[in-house]
Amino acid sequence: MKKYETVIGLEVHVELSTYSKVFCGCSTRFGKRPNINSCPVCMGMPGTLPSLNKKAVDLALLAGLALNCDIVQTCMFDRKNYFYPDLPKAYQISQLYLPIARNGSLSIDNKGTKKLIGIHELHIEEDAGKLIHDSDSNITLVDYNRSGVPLIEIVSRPDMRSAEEVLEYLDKLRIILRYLGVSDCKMQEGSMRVDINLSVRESGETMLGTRTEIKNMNSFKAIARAIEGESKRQIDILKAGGQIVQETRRWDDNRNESIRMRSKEEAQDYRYFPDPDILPLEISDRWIHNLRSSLPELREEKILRFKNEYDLSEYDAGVITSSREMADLFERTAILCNKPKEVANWLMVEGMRLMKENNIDPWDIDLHPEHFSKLISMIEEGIINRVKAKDVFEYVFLQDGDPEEYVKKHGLEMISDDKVLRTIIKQVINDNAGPVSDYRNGKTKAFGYLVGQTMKSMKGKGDPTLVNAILKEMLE
Amino acid sequence: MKINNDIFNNILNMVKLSCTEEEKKQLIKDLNKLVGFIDTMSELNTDNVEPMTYIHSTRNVYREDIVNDSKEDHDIHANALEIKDGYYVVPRILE
Amino acid sequence: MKEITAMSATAVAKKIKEKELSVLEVVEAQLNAIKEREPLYNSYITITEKEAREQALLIQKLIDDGSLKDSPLAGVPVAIKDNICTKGIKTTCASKMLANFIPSYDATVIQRLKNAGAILLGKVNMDEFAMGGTTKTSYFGEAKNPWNPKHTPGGSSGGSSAAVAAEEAFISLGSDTGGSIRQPAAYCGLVGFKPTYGTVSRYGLIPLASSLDQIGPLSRNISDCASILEVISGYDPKDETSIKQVRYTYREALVDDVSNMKIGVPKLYLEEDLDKDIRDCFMGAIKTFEDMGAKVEVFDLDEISYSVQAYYVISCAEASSNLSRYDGIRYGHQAGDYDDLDELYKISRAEGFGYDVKLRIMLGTHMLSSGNYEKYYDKARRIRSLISRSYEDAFKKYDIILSPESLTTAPLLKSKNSPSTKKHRSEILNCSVNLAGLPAVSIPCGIDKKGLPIGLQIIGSLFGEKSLIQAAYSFEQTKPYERPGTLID
Repeated sequence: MKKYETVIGLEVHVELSTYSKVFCGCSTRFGKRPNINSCPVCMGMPGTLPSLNKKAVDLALLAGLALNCDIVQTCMFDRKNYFYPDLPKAYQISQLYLPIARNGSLSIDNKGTKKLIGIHELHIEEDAGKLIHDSDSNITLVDYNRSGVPLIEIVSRPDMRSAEEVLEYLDKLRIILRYLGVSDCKMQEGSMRVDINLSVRESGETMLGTRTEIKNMNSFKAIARAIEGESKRQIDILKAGGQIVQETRRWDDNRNESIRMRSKEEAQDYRYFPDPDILPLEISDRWIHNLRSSLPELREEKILRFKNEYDLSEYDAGVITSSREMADLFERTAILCNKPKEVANWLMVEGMRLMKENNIDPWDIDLHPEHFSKLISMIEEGIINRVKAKDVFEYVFLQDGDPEEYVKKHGLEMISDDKVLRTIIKQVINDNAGPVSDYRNGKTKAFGYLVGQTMKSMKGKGDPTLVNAILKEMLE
Repeated sequence: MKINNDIFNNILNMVKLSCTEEEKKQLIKDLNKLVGFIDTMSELNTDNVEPMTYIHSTRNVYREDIVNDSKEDHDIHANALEIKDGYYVVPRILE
Repeated sequence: MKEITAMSATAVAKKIKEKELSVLEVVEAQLNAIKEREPLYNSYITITEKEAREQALLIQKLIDDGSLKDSPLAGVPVAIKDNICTKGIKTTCASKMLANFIPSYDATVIQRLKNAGAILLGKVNMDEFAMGGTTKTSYFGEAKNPWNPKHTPGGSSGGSSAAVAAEEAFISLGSDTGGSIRQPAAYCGLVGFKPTYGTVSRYGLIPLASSLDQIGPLSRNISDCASILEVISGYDPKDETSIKQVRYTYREALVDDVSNMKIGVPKLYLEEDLDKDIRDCFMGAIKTFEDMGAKVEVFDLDEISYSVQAYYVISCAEASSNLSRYDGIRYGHQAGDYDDLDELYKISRAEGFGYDVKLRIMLGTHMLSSGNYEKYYDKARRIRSLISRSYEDAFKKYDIILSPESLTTAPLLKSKNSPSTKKHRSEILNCSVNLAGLPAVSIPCGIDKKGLPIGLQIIGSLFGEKSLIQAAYSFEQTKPYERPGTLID
């Protein structure tokens, strides 16, 4: 039985986090109405000219540096000519001949082994408008709000061999770009778009097979399904003696299959030539040096540092640094309360739980480290017990509230007064003769029950240590 | 290389034009005349000469990342041919 | 009235400033002349009568309160080539494609003119999308030469030259990609100035070829040119190719002195089969400069002999891309009947563009297409380097270079316009200048046997406008402006 290998390369388009578009001053914010963020330039009106946004260049350079690329120190913009309603000038300003960065790499960790995925090139280009297909009628609607938004396209080498590797690559890429502030990389919102180039070949073969391009996946899961689906489709064809047609296919996640797209761009001659309206960029060593020094600490470095400085485990450090927001929250809270292990524990257990339940992206964490730190202090000081602290933590984590106010408002203060405890415990002992005698007869499990009942009657606010000690004492 | 019917049709499609048979005949004729003239460029030796696109040596022309909020008193969509609910309208595109 | 419209822009501006004439008087006189002569020359596509009168009153107020005292053009009516965007006023490029297009923005040069108190009279005729040398390709009909209406006023800024020569405007703005200001100026006995690439903003100029186009004036004397150049030149952040320069003081160069100028005359221009009248006129001009104390020398500039080929490739390639946006979707002509998107494109564009535009778009696309890029587009750009370098070397020795502006005077309107060797060689004189981005001016040099004007071209080094203006001014003292005979009654 022939064994087949899947070969995958990715083209990832990422929207850059700038305030204005790449060649005009229109806002890149989501438009409440169609065609509202538009001007003569991004609408391609006659006689208008582009004006390059420096921030877009800086962000592209940061991405290139973080991906270990060679910066192409004289780079240019080229016109990619084709007709489509979402393209106002009937050409897209992109970079072909001299893209801003080349020959980089991204290391992924797949099942314990490190693998380097090559990055062929990275370039800046402008986005096109959005098309909305009105299925009921014979028209398509066009919104140019997105036209001119800056993108970078990151083209990998065909070094990936499985859906797992692809997802690893994308996850790592996303974290790096988010750490840099280059993009918020949200697939569902379209700020990160992935096109898959996939081919198959017999294991051991070195020549690449004919590849297809798959578009239209808007989640990591869909990407994994698309890879499995397309790989199987191609292998089936080859097994049956057929040939793969080089084409672009659209992934239909509902039907779990790819469909051949109408030839919009098949065998298109884009007639690229340097755009005479945009002057070339000369990226000096100093420019690169300044950017490099402005690079924020990336995730790998943070993981190492957290392990060393805060004595976190590799695993914990990894989870806590999965976003810059979470890492910063951890660090600033730890510095405030000086209890890094506590902070880490709360984030790893309760934090992760709340994020999962409420569908929160680690990048959307937004709370004051002061509030978090105060909560931890309150536990230390015996103001609340750990059980009640969970409720408070939820309030602090999800609503960024002041823990002190919350505790006062809901009366969650821990009960540790000796007299009060004794009174309550006495009552519990009186009310639970059975379990009391069970305990006295050696059934240690009954002790737990009695503790539980004690806590219940105090609405959970008892000091667990004291309750345990006093109960034990009073049962003797 | 001479522009024949196939090459002509390919170009016509790339530029999204159409023409009558009469125009086509004349265009092919005129195109080939011009291409023949342009082909004489090969007589001039340009080895070791860099191509020139930009007149001046100015480089790195860009602007700050600031949104242009000025509410200009014009309607840039006034020349629109067909608008529905604020969208531009084109014939249905099948993917 | 005739006295007013026959004045130079400088003269009328002075009279307005000294309160001898009101702005409205001048505008009315000009509008009357237009009304009278338009049926003869067809210079205008759009006449902005109402706006001009309104502007006249507003500008008069500003002049009266002293706000425009530093402007050399306050109250002067100007005509604008119809490929320069004027807010709220149709800008058609003399094409069916944009026959009803009204931009919601002004070109930067228009803003500058408005700030200087110039009055917009209207939009003048041109070859469709600036592609041509006769104005015969205009969707709105050909313009005619005021010296002899059987002849073309030239192109592509033919409406600009006809309007100024017919005294239907004091000054006009045109655009020059391969000679489109200079040649019509020569054909109509005017001064036509193409500035150094980058000195005048291209924002709002509907482009033919982005790396070659420049906006410039056509006028009846060099002083008017210097004035309007000062107004329209300057850095524009909206145009990346515009140059940062502090102040343009061209009028300071209006000095009658060429005694220390070194002038070069390329041998290849003397070897051309020039019409005898043009040759005599040109040789006469050389002698005039020598008599005024300049040193004239013949030299080799053979490397520019492939200019026209390179020019065709580059201008058509860039134009084919620049004209793709006319797709019948957001503005411009849209087909009435189509079945799908592809047809919408093909029919709209086929109906909207004239033959010459189609030809150039196709040629340009062919030059850029896969397999042809290196052979044509790259090759042309290398030739461009050589041409640029040759001129650079020449300007190490010379202050200015002289040549005839054209190998012929204005051709008959009815003569066929097909590509010919002579036409190509005439084009070398002009388009090599655009390829190198140099400034150049065409000034009246004489009249031929047929009674048609002959132009002299003066080419300057990059940013060498002052030498050009000085040389032109000095020459002009020996050959003052001549009005077309048709106007003298």
